[in-house]
Amino acid sequence: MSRRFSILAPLRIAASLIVTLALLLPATQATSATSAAAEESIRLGFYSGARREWSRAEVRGTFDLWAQELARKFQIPVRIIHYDDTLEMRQDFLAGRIDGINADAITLVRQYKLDELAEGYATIMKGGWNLMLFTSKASGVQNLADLAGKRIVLLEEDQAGEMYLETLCLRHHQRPCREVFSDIQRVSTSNQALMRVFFGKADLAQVYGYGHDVAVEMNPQLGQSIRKLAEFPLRSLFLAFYSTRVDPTLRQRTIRIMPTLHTYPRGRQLLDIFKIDRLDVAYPAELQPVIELEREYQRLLSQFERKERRR
Amino acid sequence: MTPPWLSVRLLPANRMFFRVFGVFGSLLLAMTILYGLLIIPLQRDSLLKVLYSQATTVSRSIIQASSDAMLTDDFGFVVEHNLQVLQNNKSIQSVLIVPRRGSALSIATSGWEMLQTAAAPIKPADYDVESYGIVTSPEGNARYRYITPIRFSGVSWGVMQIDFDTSEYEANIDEMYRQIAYISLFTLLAILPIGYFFALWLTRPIATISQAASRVASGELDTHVKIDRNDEIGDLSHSFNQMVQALAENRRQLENVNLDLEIKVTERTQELDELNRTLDQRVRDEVSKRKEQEQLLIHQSRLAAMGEMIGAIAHQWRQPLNALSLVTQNMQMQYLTGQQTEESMRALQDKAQQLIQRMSQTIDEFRNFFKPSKHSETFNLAQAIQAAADILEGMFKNHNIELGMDCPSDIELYGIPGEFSQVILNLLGNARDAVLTANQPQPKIFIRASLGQNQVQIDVEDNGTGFDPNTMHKIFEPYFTTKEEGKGTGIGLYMSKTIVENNMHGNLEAISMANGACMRITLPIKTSPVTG
Repeated sequence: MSRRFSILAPLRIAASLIVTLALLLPATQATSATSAAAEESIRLGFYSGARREWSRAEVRGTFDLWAQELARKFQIPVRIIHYDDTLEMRQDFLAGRIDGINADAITLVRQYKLDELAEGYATIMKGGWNLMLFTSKASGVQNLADLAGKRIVLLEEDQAGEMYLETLCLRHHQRPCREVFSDIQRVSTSNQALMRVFFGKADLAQVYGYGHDVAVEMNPQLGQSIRKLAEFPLRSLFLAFYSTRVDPTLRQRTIRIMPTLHTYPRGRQLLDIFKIDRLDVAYPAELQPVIELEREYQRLLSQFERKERRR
Repeated sequence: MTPPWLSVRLLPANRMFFRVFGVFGSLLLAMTILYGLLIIPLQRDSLLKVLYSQATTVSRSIIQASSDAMLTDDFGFVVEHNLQVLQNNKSIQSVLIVPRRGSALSIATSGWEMLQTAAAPIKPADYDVESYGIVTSPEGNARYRYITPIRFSGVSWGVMQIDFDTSEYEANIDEMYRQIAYISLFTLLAILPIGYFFALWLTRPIATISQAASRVASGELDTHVKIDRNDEIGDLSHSFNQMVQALAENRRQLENVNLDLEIKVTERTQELDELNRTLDQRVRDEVSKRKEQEQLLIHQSRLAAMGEMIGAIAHQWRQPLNALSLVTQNMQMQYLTGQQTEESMRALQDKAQQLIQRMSQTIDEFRNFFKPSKHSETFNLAQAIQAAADILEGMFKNHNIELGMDCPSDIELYGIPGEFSQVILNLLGNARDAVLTANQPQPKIFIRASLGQNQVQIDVEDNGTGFDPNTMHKIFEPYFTTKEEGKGTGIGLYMSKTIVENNMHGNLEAISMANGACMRITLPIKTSPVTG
């Protein structure tokens, strides 16, 4: 059997790196206001995620190479600092040892305050990052109240998806998903997840919008055999933000330049490798839906735990 | 003055150069094309084998990786895995998996779909058959299709079809054609200078020698070829130079000989001029000599004939003379014994008178026979032969020579009878001498005449000494004789041949026989004057 890899892990890394580069590139065109940049180079924190797999190292190597090439184009040295521990990256951020950070939305929401972050960039995918819950038309599931006893497929290492689904389970069934579904499977790609539904190996699948679009594009029959039950709007799962300590002038340059990354041949090539459509300007306020989801999830979870304790 | 390099022509004007150049170039080009024609099918097969090897490897890999998923109907994994395979291997266009149970999966880089098994292009009858090859779609797109059965533990699960992009294969073929075209082009380009210099190297010395040979042929014997090569052509030029030198030497010698000859010719011409001036006189002298010789011959011949005649008369007279002697003895005896009477005297006188009369008649006959007749006339062959035989009859009897004759009595010839009789007499006389010289116990002479078509053949055969092969070719020459001195004049046969061939337009030849000789006279039958 071949190894199954999570698409999210390398995607997260790739997206993070790209937005890191996005932070970096404009900085190369102006004298950095930060002391670190003034001394030697721009330093950017990069959270690689918990899993350590070869594909991740490959992604790192690729991005390091591209960072050098693109930085050389703008004639300023860049240094990317990879973190496996988000707390460590948080400490360096607070200590001013890095000028910007990138991570997934959940990490950002849980470990950073919005007023610590300045504008940055988000990875934009064709089909979007919205979380979607699909069911097979043949499964008999009409709405979220029919989830009990069904088989569901989730994406591996998908904190945002897990949190959203748990919220749905707690909201509609007042219990966690492990008690709602008869079987919870995890696969590495949205396509795999939807195919399991298509081939009758599962009744539901939770995927991201871009994954759904890709799967349906690959096989329109698949799109005709499923129905969407729920959707959580998410502009981007992976974002990068400067520290508010970074010179606003530099940040403004970023805003002007980075949305055009995909117009550079090398930039387009880099984006294409990871099937990222483009980069776009992002603001910390865009994390607000995730913050609210997190709050609801925590609230419903507390309720459930209290019930359990009373029981 | 023209510089030397200008005298070198870029394209030598000799046919051999173009032939060598053409053959060399054609050969190289033909070999290149042949190489291409041979190598293309091999290369094509080799590329197809590579495709087949790739196909079997990919199919095994897919089946091995997807075996669990196939057995557990996890088609999602099968699709995902094949999509990965397609992504990682750009040469694969599509994969079609047709299970015996369930729906078929058609997977391509651009997407995948589920098909009803009945709609799949592979029929159940082909599930257990491996097949492969280049197929062309109705749109004209070629692809390499590999179909292999899917078996698990010997049980047929289904079949898999993999279509490979043939662009690389076609690119390789195109590249091969291009390379062959380049090689051919290179060969063509290479032929020009290489072939030019090769043909030049090969033909220039030959052309030089050829031109030199032409100059030599036109008489320029001072021609010298300078080819400094250590091969057959070098040897040829060396030999050529030697030959020209030898020719020059021979020519010099020939010129000397010619000069001598010219001198001699001049001398001879002068002599001839002198000779021409005296030629008329010489001819007259020669003719005169000839006439004298002929007269002499005629005279000698006549003397010989006279001798013959006298001999014949002597023989003819021997018997009557004896008889006359007996008559006179009887007269003497009768007188001495007194028995002589007038009657006996008259009887003896009559007897003597008869003998004398006979002798006189003999003389008349001989004189008539030898009387030179100068007029041609028709005469009887048998009578002419008999007349000659009669002349020699007495002589033959005297020597016990048997003379036979077989001659038709009705053969008429035209000519001078005396001359012909003289020929027969001459031949009989020679035959007589031959049989006598041979001391034959039974000497025989036979005259045989036979009539042929428009000619008559007269053979005079004898069983005498025959001809000596060493001198046979000379027997008709005048004054040649094999007889003892004083017995032959060497004129008889010469005169006989002259009479037969010149006067009677016939032929006289001598033929050797086993026991003797034969003189053959062949005469045309003419009863009127011979013309021409």
